[in-house]
Amino acid sequence: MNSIRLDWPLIIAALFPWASIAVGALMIPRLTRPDLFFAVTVKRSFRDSPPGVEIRRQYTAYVLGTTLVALLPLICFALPRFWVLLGVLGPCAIELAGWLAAFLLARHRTLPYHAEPTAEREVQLTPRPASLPGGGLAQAGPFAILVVTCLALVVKWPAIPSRIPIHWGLGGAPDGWAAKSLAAVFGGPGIGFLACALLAGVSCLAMRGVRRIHGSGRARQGEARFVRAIVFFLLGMEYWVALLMALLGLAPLRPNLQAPLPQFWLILPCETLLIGTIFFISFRMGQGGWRAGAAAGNEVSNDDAPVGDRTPDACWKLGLIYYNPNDPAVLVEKRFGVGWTLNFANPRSWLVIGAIFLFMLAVLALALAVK
Amino acid sequence: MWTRTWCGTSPTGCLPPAELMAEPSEKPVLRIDLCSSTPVYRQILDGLRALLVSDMFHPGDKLPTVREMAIDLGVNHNTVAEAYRLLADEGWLDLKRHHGATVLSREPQRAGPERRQDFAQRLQELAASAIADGVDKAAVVHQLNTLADQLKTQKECL
Repeated sequence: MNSIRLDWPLIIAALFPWASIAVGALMIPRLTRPDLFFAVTVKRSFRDSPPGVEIRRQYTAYVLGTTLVALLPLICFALPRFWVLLGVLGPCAIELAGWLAAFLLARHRTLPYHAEPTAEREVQLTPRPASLPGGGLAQAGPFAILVVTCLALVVKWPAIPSRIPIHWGLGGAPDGWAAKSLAAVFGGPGIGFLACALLAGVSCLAMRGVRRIHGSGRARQGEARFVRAIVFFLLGMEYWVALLMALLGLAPLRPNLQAPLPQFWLILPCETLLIGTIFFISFRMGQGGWRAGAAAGNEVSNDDAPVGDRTPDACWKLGLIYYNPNDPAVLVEKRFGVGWTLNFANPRSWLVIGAIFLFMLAVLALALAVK
Repeated sequence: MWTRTWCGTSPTGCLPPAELMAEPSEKPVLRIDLCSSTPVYRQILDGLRALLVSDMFHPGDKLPTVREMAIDLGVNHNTVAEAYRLLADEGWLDLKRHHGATVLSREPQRAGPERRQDFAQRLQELAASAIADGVDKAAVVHQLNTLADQLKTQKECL
């Protein structure tokens, strides 16, 4: 009888997103403004009322059940190679589908308790900061790393062998090769450059184009802290992408191309750190930074009309997609989770989607060119 | 914080009530009410003018751009642009494309007898309307006295 050989690095790679999704899904009822509950505007006191507790309890039970069921595809790792892909993608797919169903059910049960938000709006009469946090030097860092990488590749061009590694396995050993060409050599840093530009663009939008819900007080300070934290996180992502692409881009200059990349083991811890950071920001500050501001001051009483997020419930399709032609904002706060989403009724949003689409197209074109 | 409501339009048409003025450490804030019968552009116009008259801003101070204010208030750009344009026509603001609005040093204006009479009549009408709506006479008198005290402490700016 043949013994089953399990690909443990691949199993860990499958379990990592599985665990992240499970933690994220379980935290969702807490990662929202206090007067939003499963993407529905409610009175602040609803969350801890008997129906609110019951809805949350049922949601948690469904998510936990789906999380366990999602482990079933892991048996594919014991099957021939063809099935392994199902083992990697299956848990996440089942988990996401189960979470969506649990979320929509909870939202459906919350809708009868919808409360009309206040019609009052406030704005602080100061212009937004012109520069991003960290200053121009910190923002230019990731691009400088990639430019230096490209310069090193240009200078050392004759030393680059005719066949270079373009893909690496989980252990860091190269498992994909391509002939020496401009696309193969400069593709990695080029993609890194585009990704950093995209992240910098999102940072600019977050600083200048995101609605500030509160105009004064601790709630305002909490929002400002939240935006700064996210922009710093995005800057960290830029550095991570730039360093990773620089590492992989310079790999063809190594004397022994067959040997695993020594720094490769750093990838998983760094990615864990990034995901952990975003969870930490979300948990510590709350969506929109409400926990970092208004919570401590308790400025809104339970009986006040909810402030919500200044978007009408009716414009949230399934609680996930925002479509409001009367709202000038491009980015609006997500109703749960962390960060912002697009207002799909704003034509400028389609420019952002176009930029993301072009980025994906560039990656695909590069892959085809290297082939 | 939402227990203090102000629809951007000061009851006197001149100054915001005392509790709505920004605290010394706080930046000035404009509040509007989308359910008010007063048009939103009018609320923005009156609210900003009230803050400008009460010396909350100094010449050279920057206001949010039309786009930023429209996003924060969740109203159309044109609504904010109209309010800014009217304030620029009155000489309060300097509007430059992509540079937002800058507060100008405004020369004191001289109102003629007709304007003063019009003001007195509107004030009387406003007080009568408030009393008719059930506001206590004593409260109206108190508010008018408070306003008078505020005006005395300010420099001549109209």
